[in-house]
Amino acid sequence: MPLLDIRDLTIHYATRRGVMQAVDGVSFTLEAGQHLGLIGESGCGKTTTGRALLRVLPRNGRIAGGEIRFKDRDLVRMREAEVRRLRWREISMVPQSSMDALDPVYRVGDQLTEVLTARGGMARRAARERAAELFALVGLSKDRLDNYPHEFSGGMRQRAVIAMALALDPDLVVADEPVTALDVIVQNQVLRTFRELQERLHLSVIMITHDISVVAETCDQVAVMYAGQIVERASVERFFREPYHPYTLGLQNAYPNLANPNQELISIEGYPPDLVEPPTGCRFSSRCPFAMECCFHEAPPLVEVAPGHQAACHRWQEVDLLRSLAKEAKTWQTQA
Amino acid sequence: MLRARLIYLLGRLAQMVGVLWVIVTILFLIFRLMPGNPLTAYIDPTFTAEQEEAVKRQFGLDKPLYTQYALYLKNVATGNLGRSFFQKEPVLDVLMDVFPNTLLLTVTSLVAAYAFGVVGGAFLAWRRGTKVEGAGILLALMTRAAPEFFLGMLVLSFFSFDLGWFPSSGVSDPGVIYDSIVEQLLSADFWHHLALPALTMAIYLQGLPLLLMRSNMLEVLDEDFVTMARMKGLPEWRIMLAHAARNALLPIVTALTVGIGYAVGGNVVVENVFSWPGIGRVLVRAVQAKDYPLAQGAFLLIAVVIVSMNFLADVFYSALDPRVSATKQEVG
Amino acid sequence: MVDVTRGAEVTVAPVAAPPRASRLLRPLAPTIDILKRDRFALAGVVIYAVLILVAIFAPLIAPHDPQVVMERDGLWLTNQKPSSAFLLGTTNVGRDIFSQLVYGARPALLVGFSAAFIVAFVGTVVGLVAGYFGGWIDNLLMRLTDVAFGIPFLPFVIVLVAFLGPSIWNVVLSMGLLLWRDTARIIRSQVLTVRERAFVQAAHISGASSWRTMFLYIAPNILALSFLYGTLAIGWAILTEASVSFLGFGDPTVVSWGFMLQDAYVSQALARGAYYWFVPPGVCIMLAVMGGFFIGRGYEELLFPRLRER
Repeated sequence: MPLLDIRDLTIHYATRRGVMQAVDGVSFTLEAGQHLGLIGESGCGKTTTGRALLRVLPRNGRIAGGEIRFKDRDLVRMREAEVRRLRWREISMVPQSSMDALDPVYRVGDQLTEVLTARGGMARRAARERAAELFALVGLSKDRLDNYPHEFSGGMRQRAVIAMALALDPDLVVADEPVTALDVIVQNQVLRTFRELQERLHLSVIMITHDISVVAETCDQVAVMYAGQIVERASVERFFREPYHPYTLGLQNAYPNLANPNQELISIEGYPPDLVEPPTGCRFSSRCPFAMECCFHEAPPLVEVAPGHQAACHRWQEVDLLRSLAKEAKTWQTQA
Repeated sequence: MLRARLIYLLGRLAQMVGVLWVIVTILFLIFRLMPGNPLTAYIDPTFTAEQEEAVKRQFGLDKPLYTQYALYLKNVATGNLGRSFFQKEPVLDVLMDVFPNTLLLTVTSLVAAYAFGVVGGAFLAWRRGTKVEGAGILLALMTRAAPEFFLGMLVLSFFSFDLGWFPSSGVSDPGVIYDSIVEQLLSADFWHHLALPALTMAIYLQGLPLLLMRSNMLEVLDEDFVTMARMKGLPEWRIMLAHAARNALLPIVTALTVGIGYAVGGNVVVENVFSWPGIGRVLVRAVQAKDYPLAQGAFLLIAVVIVSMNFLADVFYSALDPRVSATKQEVG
Repeated sequence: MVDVTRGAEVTVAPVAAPPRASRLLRPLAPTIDILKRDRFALAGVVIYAVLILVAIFAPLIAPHDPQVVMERDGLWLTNQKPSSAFLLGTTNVGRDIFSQLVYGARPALLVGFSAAFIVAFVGTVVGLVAGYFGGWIDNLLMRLTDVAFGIPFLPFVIVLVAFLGPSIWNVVLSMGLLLWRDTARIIRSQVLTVRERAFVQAAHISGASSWRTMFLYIAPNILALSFLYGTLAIGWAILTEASVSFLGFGDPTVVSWGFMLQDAYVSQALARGAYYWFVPPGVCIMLAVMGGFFIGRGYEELLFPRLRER
């Protein structure tokens, strides 16, 4: 039985213009101890999916359907009080902007002890000791416990937030763009710390990111999201060696490749579709250089292209052709 | 860090003294340079020119302006505000007699207004998007838009004249005299008299903190650290009080400075509606009677209250918000 | 005034490039859009439309001269209850209350608009100059603003009006001397952010003079904010004039709502339960002030679209 089994998850946002289908029929599983990278452009529903795991959605959002089976319990249908008990003790989150995730008016150490006492049931003194331990774990000096968030650098704040996410020994940590806001050198340091913690504490992690180099460094499984749907799902080795979906091919062109650092970067032109009125066919069709007539009418199903590897593309059988074309910059230009 | 805060506060203190000095100077200029001889009220038309000169000498008005100014500064600094033309008493004594009344009225109504406003504003934010919220906002705007003296007249005619529950004027029943402020504070009679003016001012003052608290709460509730608190599974009351309200409260403290300004300004009319013997009433009467030393003194005292309360609010703020002393930025 | 600004740090969206077709209507389009959606703003506009009409056509609307004592058969018609002849009754010396109410719209609007204009103008110029030039000029002007915040507002107006003589223009002047302080602070902080924007920097680098940059590139981006503070100042001015009149420092030749309230108060209308006398002028003041608030709120949503989501 997997730790997490998401089936057909659908999440809607009520907006001025109508209902936005932010997440549309997302399914994936996560075994205990796995590190899954959830990758895609901003606005594709990664963060929404992550927040749904804690059932903390923005005010105008709601889970419209599907199941989130966590340790064989369905989070979607769970009562609020029960979800609240589960939060942080079983699933915790390193949120997108650690800058603002800490309350500016309390000392960082006090915010850690707050979780430990209010949710972990610890006594104040024990909580204080545990907070110092956690700080040491993420590479912060315990002298810093008495500082306010504004006295921390960006990297330190990020470490503090990671410490907070680990405070109650959760079964699953959702890390949402944990290093995006940091400069490159600090990114690498924090990422290294995080990777070490993953191994040492045998964490199960969902790493939400738009940066495939982060996936390469920290994950063993990858799910690619586009416009609210999962378009490809594979092990990290297969993801880099044998990608299938044109969007995945495009993503790999757009980021520096570790194997071939001198490769020219090519970006995917255009914008993701409007999810208030999503296109009828494949959602990537408007930006896809390989789109055929049927791509605009019929949504491709997620099919097993190899054992443990799924992709949603009508032309998956021609993948060798697509891969060779995708390497050329001119393939991605002059899209209507 | 403590040092930084100390330096910040010392700077603010110096600024406060500077502001008061400029205000004192402006007052001096208003009262010396305005059309009409400040002594017209004092000098009897039957006075001879010599007698008039004698009076002018007595008040130092025969000296050049800068000498007058220096003398005036020295007097103000030593608490010598001159003698009232009509009450023939030192201005400071007249003012100190009524000052406790004004202070009690202001503090009582401010405390009531801000307590109500903060709770009410948080409540409206919590009930966002409902009819209750809409009605609450409208009501708050109405009280903000009503002149205080009009509110006072409504309160007075309803609770005092129609229902007869409260006295209509004064600080105590006729013949009652208090030996000390403590005695005054302990007497039911005093609170009975205080009720209506304080209620009036509180109604007028609560709109500002209420509307501000509501919008602050709405803003803070969208902050990431509140979302984070939810994700952490903290109880709802804890999120609301310890995180949302605690942060939303910060600008309210700044607003308190503005609130004090309104309160003291509002005092002037409310004291007149309820014949409450306070600074505001003394000021109005002194201006009407052209009792310049008294008017000047009352004005100055109100200014001192405003400026020092502003300072206090800053001190509060720097204690509540750890970011202030670090950045030393002015909040406002 | 803080309540409606919701924090000074909000930045105004820069004036966007206009679509060519509806260039002339462009400034109006969002206004109309707001009015359609925001019933508060619509109410504010309606209140002011009615007030302006009443003020203009006061002689046609008012059945009597507000200053003239009503008589019948040589007897003064004092303390009349509301009737068809005297819609709101008469005062204790026999003046028609309804006619006074109608004429009261004139000084209210006069004081409100002229004071609001001065306040917005002075505040904008002070904030603009302080924020743009910075340095010692900024320091000087902001310390001056601190002083203005330290001066008790109503007492200042009373003292000044007492010296200058009771006329509504002196009330307006005294308000103008002090009330610019809020506007100046907000405008300054806005200028500080606008100044750093790329297009202002570009104008400066390309050799535009300081004054040119200030008025041509920065001013248009903050005018909306001055207008917002102007609409709010209308309410404050009307309230202040009423307070000054109530305390007996008003212009005795002008029938204003504040004067009516004072008249009622000193004539023991409260003790006699003559609600018909003192409630209407108070309600009129409230409506006029609220109208300003409502328009300000609607306008603010236009300026800070983020607020609309709430």
